[in-house]
Parts: sequence; C-alpha cells; structure tokens
Amino acid sequence: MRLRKISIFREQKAQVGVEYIIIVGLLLSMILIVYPYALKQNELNKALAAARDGAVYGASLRGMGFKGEGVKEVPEGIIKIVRVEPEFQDSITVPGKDWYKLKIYISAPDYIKDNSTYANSVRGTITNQALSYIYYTFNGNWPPGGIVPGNRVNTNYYSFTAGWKWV
Amino acid sequence: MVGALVNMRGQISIEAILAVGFSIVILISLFNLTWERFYLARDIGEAGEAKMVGEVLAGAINNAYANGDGFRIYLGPDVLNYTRLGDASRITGVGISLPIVIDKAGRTINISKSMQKTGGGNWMAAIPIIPANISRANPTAQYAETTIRNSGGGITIYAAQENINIP
Repeated sequence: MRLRKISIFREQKAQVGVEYIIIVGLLLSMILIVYPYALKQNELNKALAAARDGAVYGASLRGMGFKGEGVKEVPEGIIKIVRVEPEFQDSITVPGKDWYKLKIYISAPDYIKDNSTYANSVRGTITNQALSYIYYTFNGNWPPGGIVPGNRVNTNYYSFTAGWKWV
Repeated sequence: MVGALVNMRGQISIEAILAVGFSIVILISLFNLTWERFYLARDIGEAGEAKMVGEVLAGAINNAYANGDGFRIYLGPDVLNYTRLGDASRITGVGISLPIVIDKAGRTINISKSMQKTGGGNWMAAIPIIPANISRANPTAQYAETTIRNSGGGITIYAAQENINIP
C-alpha cells in the first residue's frame, strides 16, 4: 500500500522543469534591476511621441488656415514638422527632475517665417499643442483652457518645455 | 480519486500563459497613445472637410458674383449636406459648428470646427470672398436650399438661418 502511494507520487510530474524555473527566476531579477531605468526611458519616449503628435496637429491646422479662439489669423501655407529633438538642459528648475527642452524644427513658407506676427502665432500654437499632448498623455485630461500652465509639463522623472527652430 | 488527480493537466501550458501575459502588458501600454492618434487623425481630417465646404461655398458665391444678374448656382445635398456636416451622434465626431457665418464687412466665410476630443475649443478658418453685398433668404419652392443667386444689386443665398447666417 505504501509502495503504491509513493509510485503515484512519482508519476505526478511538475509542469515546468527546474532549468526553466532558474531561467525565469534570473530573468525576473534582471527585469527588476532594469525596471526603474526602463520606466524612465519609457517616459521620455512617450513624451517625445506625444510632442510630435501635438506639433503635427498644430502645424496641420495652422497650415489649413485654422486658428484657435483669440489667436491671430495667419494665411494658409505648407507648415511641416521636420523633427522633434529632446535637448537636455544642464540646470535644475524643478528639483528632482531632469529638464528636457523638446526642440521642434518647423518648416514654413517665407511669408510666414519672415513675418514676426505670423511666425510667433504659428510657433506659439505648435509649442502649446506639443505640450498639451504631453500633458494629456501623463495626466489623462487636457490642460484647463487649452493652455499648459507655465509652458511646462512635469512628469515623474522629467520636466518638459518646448523650443522651436525654423528650418 | 488519486488517479484522477494525476490525470489532471492544465488546459494550456505555462509558456502560453506567460506569453499572453506579457503581450497584454505591452498592448495596454500602447493603448492610450493609439486612441490619441485616432482622435488626432479624425479631427485633422474633419478640419480639412470643413475647409473644403467653405471653399465650395466661396467658389459658388464668387462665380455667381462674376456671372452677372440672374445667374444662380444650386448646391444640392450631394454637395452641401448640413445634416451630415453637423452630425454629432452617428460618428461621435463633432463635425462643423453650424451655422456657417458670412462676414460681409470682412468679406470672409467663417468656418468653425469644435475640437473637444483633442483639447481645443473652437478652431476657426476664414475663407475670403469677393462680393460684400450678400444677404440671406429662406429657401422657396423656386430656389431650394442652397441656391446662390445674383440678384443684380448683390448676392442672395437661399438657406435656413441655422445653416448659413449673415449677421
């Protein structure tokens, strides 16, 4: 009787081998070590993607001749976002957070670029929309009144502002 | 009973459970960004459509003005469908904010598009037109909505006030 019990016990096999458990265990400990860094990098990637979306949104609408309420009218033209680059700022404005200025490279016709009223209005919309999208990505709601407070979005690890360059 | 226990196997392997689990985590992290892009693409598309409607109307007004007394253009529901333009429930988009306002003094057609889903309030676009003497009349049996007629002294648009408004 006793023997039979043991043999039954032996027939019960584990679903995974010990090698598998060791590998998974090692993987888990590696993930745990890398996790904070990955989280930080992920935040920067998400912010960059959001900034790019927001900038394209602003550029498309201004290019079609649309304007927000209380914004100066600008003639339509081909306005494009060439690229968005994160620029690390070597000074601390918000304690405990890395400050990144997201530089948006905007291409626009000369009659917009060379007219300071038009140029300021267009780049204002584009930078504000870029920051709005970052704000939405991390807060889950749009900034009150459509304008990002202080033109700065703070996340867990970073503090983002927006810059621009005409190309 | 013990035999039954030995025969009990999981319906899927632990590898499958792990793979599905990881996929779910990755998909969830992308979800927020994906909806954002959907709204962005739809709002820019709708803004483009709104602009097109303004251009069609401006083209018709300018043509009626240029062609002299008695000339008229009929923009039927195939060209200018107010129900579909302002439709908010069917596609959950917000379409164009009706009425389309014609500014006589500024000689522009003002299109307004609500951007609730992407954080903005109303975005406006102004499309220039040539004539300044424009009036609106309710549609009649002879002139259905939307007819644009050159009445010698000026342009008359036959359309309901909730669709086209000339203050």
